[in-house]
Amino acid sequence: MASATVGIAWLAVACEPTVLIGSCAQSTLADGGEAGASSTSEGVVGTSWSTGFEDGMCGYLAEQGYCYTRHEATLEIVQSPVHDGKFAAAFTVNGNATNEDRSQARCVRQGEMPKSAVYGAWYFIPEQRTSDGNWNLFHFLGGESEADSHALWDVSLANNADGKLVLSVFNFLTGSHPRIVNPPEVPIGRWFHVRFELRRSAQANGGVILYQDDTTVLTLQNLITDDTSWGQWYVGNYARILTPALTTVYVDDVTISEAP
Amino acid sequence: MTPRAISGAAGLALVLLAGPSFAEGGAPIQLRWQAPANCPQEAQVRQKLADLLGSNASDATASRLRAEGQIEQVGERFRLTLNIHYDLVNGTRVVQASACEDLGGVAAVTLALLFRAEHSSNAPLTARDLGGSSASVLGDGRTASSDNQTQSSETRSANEGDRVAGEEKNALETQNDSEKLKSEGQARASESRHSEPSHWRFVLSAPELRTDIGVLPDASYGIGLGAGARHDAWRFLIAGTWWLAQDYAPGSFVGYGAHFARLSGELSACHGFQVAGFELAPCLLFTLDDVAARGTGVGVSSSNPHTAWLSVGAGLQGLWSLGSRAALVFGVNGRAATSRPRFVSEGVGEISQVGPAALGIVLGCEWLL
Repeated sequence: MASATVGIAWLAVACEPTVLIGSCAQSTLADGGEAGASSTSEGVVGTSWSTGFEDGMCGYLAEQGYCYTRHEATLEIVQSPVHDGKFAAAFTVNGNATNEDRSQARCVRQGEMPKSAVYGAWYFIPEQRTSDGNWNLFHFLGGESEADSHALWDVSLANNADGKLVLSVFNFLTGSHPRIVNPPEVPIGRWFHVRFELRRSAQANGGVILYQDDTTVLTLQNLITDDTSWGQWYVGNYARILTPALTTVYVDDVTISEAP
Repeated sequence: MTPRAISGAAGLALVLLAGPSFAEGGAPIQLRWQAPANCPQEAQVRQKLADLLGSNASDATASRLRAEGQIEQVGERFRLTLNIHYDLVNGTRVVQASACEDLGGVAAVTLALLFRAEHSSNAPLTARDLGGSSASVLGDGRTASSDNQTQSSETRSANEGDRVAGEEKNALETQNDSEKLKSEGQARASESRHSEPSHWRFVLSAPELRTDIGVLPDASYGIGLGAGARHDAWRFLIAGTWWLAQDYAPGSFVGYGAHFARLSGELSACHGFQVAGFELAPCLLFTLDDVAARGTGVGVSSSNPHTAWLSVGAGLQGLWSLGSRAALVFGVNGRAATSRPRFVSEGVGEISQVGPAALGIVLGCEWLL
């Protein structure tokens, strides 16, 4: 009897077949109309890609990307608010100071990043928040692989002296926040467009430009921007300490496009 | 005196007249016996029963009667508790006597009477038959029985018990009275149109209400039916269950999850034991689960794939008789899965995995046909 029990237990552990019960529909590969055209080859991130979450997360999955949640964060495809189309993505984090780990919900494009491109997304922040620490919207990472990588650039939210939210940038290669003069306030309860132009270079001839809607927020020229060939671009919501803690940001129409 | 008792007495008369030829073949009724060393032992009671039944008990395997007898010393007296079972019907007789030698005979006569009653009529024995009545040949019959199989702790008074024990002996010895009953018994037997009852009996289990945990992400609720056969204390059933479909979302990807539909089949083998008026039946179970799962969420498509796996387990069922042909069944079981499929949706990851073990409860009705 004991041997039979052990045998069954072994069989149960050894036999764990994976049943794929859901996958991206064929039509979703064309979400945004340009996903397929962006990939010139496997692992290469093209400069003509977009997703409006009309096919959920399939816009990422179709391009070897993915979405994830960690530490009490959630990701939900919602029908309101949306910037365009029927759906947008709601990234909710718990910016609770008691959390040792940063709550985060994000979607990632990865691969051989374009030499020069503009990374954009429409954001909607429904309520004012106070951030004590990094409240990140865009994150760029580079390396040989995800396991062997280091951070490059952050585009985040910070409170100005009046407590209003503004965009900020962090350069991981220098470990500094480039000074932004009179950054425009981030609107609350209204969609706004964040674009980050990145001209990758391992020498001091690269550059970055941050746009908020049609306003240029920051321009940096002639600097090392990326010392790697493989990279990741994170879009979503990542926070350390927020007040109130439970915070949702909505994202729609994420794009990678050619730099002008 | 009830017709049943008359019939039984007539049957006894028949066996008394028939002589002891059956003795060598053993008693046709399953009997378990416990008694102090100075009292009649099982072999003696069996021999007595065989002597009483004689050659009339031509088919020693045909009886559906089972009994457990126990003699206990109560002060200076002795008490016989005889639990008698006929399929799902149970009865208990309690007799006290000053000498335990008499009680072995009482048990043998009681069972012999019931054996004859069983074989002299189409009608199945009832709880009243098993428990006896005040008008029975055995005397006063301070016995306990009911359709609900409740067991009385009442016993005969001391004097009465002695009297009844004496009557039991008289019943064995008074062939004149038996002759009178013989004709009645024969008349009743002549009305029987059936042959000896089959050893195998068809069993229908319907409806079965089931719930379990450990198979799908949430507790499952199902309805089913089963069919099979009884052979003495053994019961073999094959049952099918349709489970309510359930939707499950793991949580962090809100709106993404799976829709599960499930069917299952179960093969069970149970052996019943009579305990305090109930039948308790340990069971060996083989369960085949078939689950169709469909990923859900915006942009997710699914071919609704099926997967099936076998589980092996054990359970315990309790049967509460609702009469001679029906019983209420309550059971608990545990099963170990031989395979643990992981249900995965692209982009979301693992939605659910079948647990290593499942715990189930079943409530149903069993019909003996």
